[in-house]
Amino acid sequence: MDSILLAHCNDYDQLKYQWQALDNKQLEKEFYNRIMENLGIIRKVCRMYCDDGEHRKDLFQEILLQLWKSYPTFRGQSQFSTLMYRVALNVSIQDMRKTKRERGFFIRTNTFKEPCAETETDTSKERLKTLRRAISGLNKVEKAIVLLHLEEKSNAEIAEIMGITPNHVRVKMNRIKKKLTKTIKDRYHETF
Amino acid sequence: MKLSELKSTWNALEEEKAPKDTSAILGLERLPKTHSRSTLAKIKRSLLFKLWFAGTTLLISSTILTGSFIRPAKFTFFESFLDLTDNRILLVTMVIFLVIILIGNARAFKEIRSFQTKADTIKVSLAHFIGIMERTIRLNIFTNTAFNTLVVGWIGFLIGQRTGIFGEVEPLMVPLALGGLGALLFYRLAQYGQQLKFGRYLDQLKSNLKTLKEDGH
Repeated sequence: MDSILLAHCNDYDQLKYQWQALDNKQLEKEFYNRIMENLGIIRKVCRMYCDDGEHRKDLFQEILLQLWKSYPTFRGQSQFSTLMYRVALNVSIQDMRKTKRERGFFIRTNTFKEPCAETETDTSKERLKTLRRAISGLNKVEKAIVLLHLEEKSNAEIAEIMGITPNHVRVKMNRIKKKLTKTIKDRYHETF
Repeated sequence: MKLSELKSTWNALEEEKAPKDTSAILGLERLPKTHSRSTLAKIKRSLLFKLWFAGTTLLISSTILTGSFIRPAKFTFFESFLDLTDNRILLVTMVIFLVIILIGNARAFKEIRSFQTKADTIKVSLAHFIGIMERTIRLNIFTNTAFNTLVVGWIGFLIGQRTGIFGEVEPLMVPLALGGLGALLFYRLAQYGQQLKFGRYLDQLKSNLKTLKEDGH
């Protein structure tokens, strides 16, 4: 490879440029492979923070872009998934676009339940509504902690991503659980 | 429904909805050429425009100022209102203002560019981001106030010279007085404008950071 390059490059700058191009190609390939392996992380973060499809698509693209920008600084000290969570959550938390709820168009999920017609699909739909309702009552940081908890990350891992102590994560998680339980109970009383 | 059921619902949702993405569908190949639509990217683009505009104006102003020392007759304008000294004072004021604007904007631009390549923890990143936003807002307020004050001051001076409506008042007192009053008004207006544009957003970010800082951590 050296000889091929040297044959075509007369000066140092040109050679350096060629090497950079090669490095970039290598970097792109490596980046794409890592992204494809961990794509679920971005999808889950987008689902957690966006109600509507278009917003979700925009956020998805923005996260990918920020990951691409920060990828050259990734030195492998921590897992790539940690970098992905950090970038994806940072982008989502700093996202300025308002959610439907913040715009004041939040419509309470339908509480109507057909008696004695409960199938498995109805149950899962109902659970999904409850899940969305419960999550929508949390602020952006709480959503991040819940997401990591749902992803079965340990308190230490959550602390590493969030930048707080594992003890603080535990305290936060207890509060969030109480908040979620209350929302779920409220929803249960509304439904039945 | 219990919390544990929420977890299973979440996992089931992901398995069910996960599409089979390919790098082509995701547009990964186009990624290096894609423009960001984030708040910071928009601020960065606006800073870049200000840098370009201030840089060009600075180049023109400095050229005229230098010219006014080498060939005064050729580089004096508004001869009916401004003499050579007035011209030089105007140009020096503009050059000083533009240099401050350029330095401020260049620093903010550099800071945002460096921030965008970092993958810090949520708490560090949020604190840094809020800091950048606050500095950018202050810079915008200063730029708007200073620019409008300069314009009003000089317009006042020119009107005074042309119409003589300020009578026997010292010519330099007019732009100073008008500039002073204008500065107060424009400062409030700029502050209000920035509050309207970023105030609520910044409050939300601060509240998120507060959530992470609670309990003395």
